[in-house]
Amino acid sequence: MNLILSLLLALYLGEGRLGSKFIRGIIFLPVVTSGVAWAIVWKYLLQGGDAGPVNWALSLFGITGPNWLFEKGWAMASVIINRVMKNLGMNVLIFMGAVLNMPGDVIEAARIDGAKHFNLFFKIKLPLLMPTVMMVAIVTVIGSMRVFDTIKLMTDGGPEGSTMVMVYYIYHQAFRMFDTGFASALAVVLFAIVLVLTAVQWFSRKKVSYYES
Amino acid sequence: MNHKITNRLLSFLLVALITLLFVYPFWWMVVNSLNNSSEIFGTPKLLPTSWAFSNYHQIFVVQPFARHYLNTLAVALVGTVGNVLLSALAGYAFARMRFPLRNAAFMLLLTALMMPIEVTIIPLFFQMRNWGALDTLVPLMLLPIFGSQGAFSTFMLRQFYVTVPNELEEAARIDGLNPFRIFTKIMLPVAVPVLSSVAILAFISVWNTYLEPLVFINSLKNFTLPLSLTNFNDTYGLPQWNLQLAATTLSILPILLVYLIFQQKVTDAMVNSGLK
Repeated sequence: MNLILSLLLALYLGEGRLGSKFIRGIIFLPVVTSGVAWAIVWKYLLQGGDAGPVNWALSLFGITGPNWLFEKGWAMASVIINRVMKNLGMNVLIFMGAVLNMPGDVIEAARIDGAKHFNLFFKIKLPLLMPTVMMVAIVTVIGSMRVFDTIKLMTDGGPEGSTMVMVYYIYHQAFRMFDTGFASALAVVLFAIVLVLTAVQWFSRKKVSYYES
Repeated sequence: MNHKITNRLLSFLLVALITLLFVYPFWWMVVNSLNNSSEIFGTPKLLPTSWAFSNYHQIFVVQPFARHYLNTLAVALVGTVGNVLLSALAGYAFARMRFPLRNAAFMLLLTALMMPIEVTIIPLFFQMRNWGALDTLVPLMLLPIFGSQGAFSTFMLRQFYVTVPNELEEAARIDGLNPFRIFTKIMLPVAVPVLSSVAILAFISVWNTYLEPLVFINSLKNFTLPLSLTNFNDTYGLPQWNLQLAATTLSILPILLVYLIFQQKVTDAMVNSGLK
């Protein structure tokens, strides 16, 4: 989700349209804000009933919002929305760098060959951006596995463990249950996963830069 | 012609929508930091009702918030300065000096770079306990210097020093400077752009860090801002939103200022770090 959104936004902004500089500034705000502050604000926004500004905004359109943080599916959705908005700015900027580096002549050629918007995107632009997409995907996956403050503050792993993630589980086992042995084992598993993902990123980059040249 | 106008209108709408979406949380944060607690639970209003600036006074009363602020500042400054100094030295050494096991040490550094703090937090906890450093600010200051943030800065500086032409150094050596003077007079000044982006990143990351203080700190007087923020609760453990939001506003202010002033620098630094 983060990937698709940020890619689209980057393509849009990359064409240097109206207000793109301004948007860049705005969407980067959450990236520099601390995870704690961001989570606190969202916890407030997502309050159940009419008191939470999100539900209030929805009610203006006649929608009754759920009790976000305390219903099973919605709690996870809330966490995801929170994370996506926090990291979107970062990914958009990385993609923008890639979009601006796309060889203009290739796109020009495709356009002359009669490629329309849709084709142009899927047949030309997307393959050109693939290495960056891959990189951002892996970085985002690693980042999501390490989400801690959002979970701790917004849902505490609940309701019924539906938003329990790896790192929060480690913390929970080690410093709440004081089962440091089990927690250490979890940490080793986490490290192994991160290692594998990083290795994948490393090798795919090598392969990809080959075809770029 | 008509087509063009609708296009412009559409893109304008999109800009407005995105802006709204991202400003919305910040807007509510500020508005409700100026409301009293009963107004917060009423129907939300787009502007503060009572302009209760007393919230901003209150947060310093119910908790030693100023103390927390200073703690965070101290940790961030020591951490950042230490991080930059050490990584400049180490980065230079990795790039230019020959010493045994250099490559092995560099591999070790890369491992440290990839190692998420969550993986090492448990052994670190016991280590700090053995040193008697639990519940002090010491681990919080050490981690950004020797933890993965330090490894990251070192890596960035090494990558930079590798690109600095050798002739610069040779000229200095012929002029009779010793290695230490070469470093302070020439290698540090040329690296200022990299040093500053590394410093900004380190500062932001230390300022925002949450897991480490949560694990290492217990007593109220040693809290850092993120801990402090989560502690604005009433006796039932429910958050006192008006105070919490006021404190949150104050806590992100310095970072937002840094960001607004050095916007280009910060975004460049962050994007480059993502691409490493």
